Amino acid sequence: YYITNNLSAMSERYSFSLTTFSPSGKLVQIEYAIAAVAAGAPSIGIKSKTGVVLAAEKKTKSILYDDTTITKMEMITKHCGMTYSGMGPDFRLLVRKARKIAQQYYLQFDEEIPVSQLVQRLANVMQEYTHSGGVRPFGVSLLVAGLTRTHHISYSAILRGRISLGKLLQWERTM
Amino acid sequence: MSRGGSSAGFDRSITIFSPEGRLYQVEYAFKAINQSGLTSIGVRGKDSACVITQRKIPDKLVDEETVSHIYRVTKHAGCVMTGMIADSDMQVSRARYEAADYKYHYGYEMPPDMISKRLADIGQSYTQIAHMRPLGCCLIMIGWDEEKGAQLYRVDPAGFFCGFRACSAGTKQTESNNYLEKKIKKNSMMNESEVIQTAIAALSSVLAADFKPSEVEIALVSDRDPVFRKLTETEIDEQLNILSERD
Repeated sequence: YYITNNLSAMSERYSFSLTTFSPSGKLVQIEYAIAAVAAGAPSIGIKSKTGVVLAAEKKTKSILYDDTTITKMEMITKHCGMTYSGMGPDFRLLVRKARKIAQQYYLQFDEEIPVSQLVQRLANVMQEYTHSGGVRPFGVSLLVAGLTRTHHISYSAILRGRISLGKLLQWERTM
Repeated sequence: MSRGGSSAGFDRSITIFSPEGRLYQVEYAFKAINQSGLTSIGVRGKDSACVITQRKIPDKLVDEETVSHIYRVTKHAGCVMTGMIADSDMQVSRARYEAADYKYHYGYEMPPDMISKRLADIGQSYTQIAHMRPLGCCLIMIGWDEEKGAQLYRVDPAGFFCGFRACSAGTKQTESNNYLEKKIKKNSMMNESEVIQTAIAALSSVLAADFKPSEVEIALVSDRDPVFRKLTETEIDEQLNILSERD
């Protein structure tokens, strides 16, 4: 057997979207995904004139966990990184996709990807999973922070599938 | 196919979100692990790691030499599988394939944490893409890494994986974790024999039974001998004797 990594190849078997409109016009799978995020540990980001700070709670349920192996804060490139609230396994997938997006951009344009571009493309990936056949939305919201070439500090949040640029964006469990 | 837009009862049969944000199929997969009725435990010390699991021969007609839940994946890493046996076989096959492919592409052996991460990522895709269900099995991997020494990792059906000082899987998972927490609190830097003794004592305690050497399987890696290997029945017998003498 072999497993393809092509999203469209796998979703051919489910040619209908699992995320559909309710009679009131809501996309309930996305609302439920946000509930999954709310159940996760909190993460916070703060931007100032001179920098950005991301923080995330890393509470392990018992001493049996080796918490040096748990990474809630991931580097995408040397100049940007991200953290999350919600489902860990989904976050790992998005980290891999973000890293690939950044490298593809670098290959094409020979410069570090601006954070706004990265966030745009990553949000697009997340949107595809609310649209394509046979997949569920990601149960994560992301906080992405970085420094662009012109040393402009950039900080974005992908919450509820929408991008918000922010000076200060606080995000708690109850949100 | 029109379904009116709500989850319309599908949230229990494929991996889409329920109204509370849960994935029922993943939760049911966890329950499936207990179907086998077996428990496995992994312990990591200062320079060694071991896994232990019950060995029940389902039928007198089965050739007991062929019954094993401990599998070698690479020269220095292997795992114990707990849960549905067919799903376990599939996950081990995939682990072996991924490790061999890694060696082919990169020229060095796939470290245990990378193997675990790859299997966890594959497991995550089963929770997100509707065409395949999550696997009803839990993988506890031990391995020896050149840079980090002895390692213990656990991969579950949700696609979550993590390094552990000690962990367990299967029917008596909760009791076993409680026992292990107490032991690790006292001493998290065990030597090789303490690691094996703790694993045996934990399993023995939660199952409230003394074992015969043929009723358990143990596998080990250590700085002293970094090759992943299963203990022979004689060695298991020795360890059981040491434990009973201690008591």
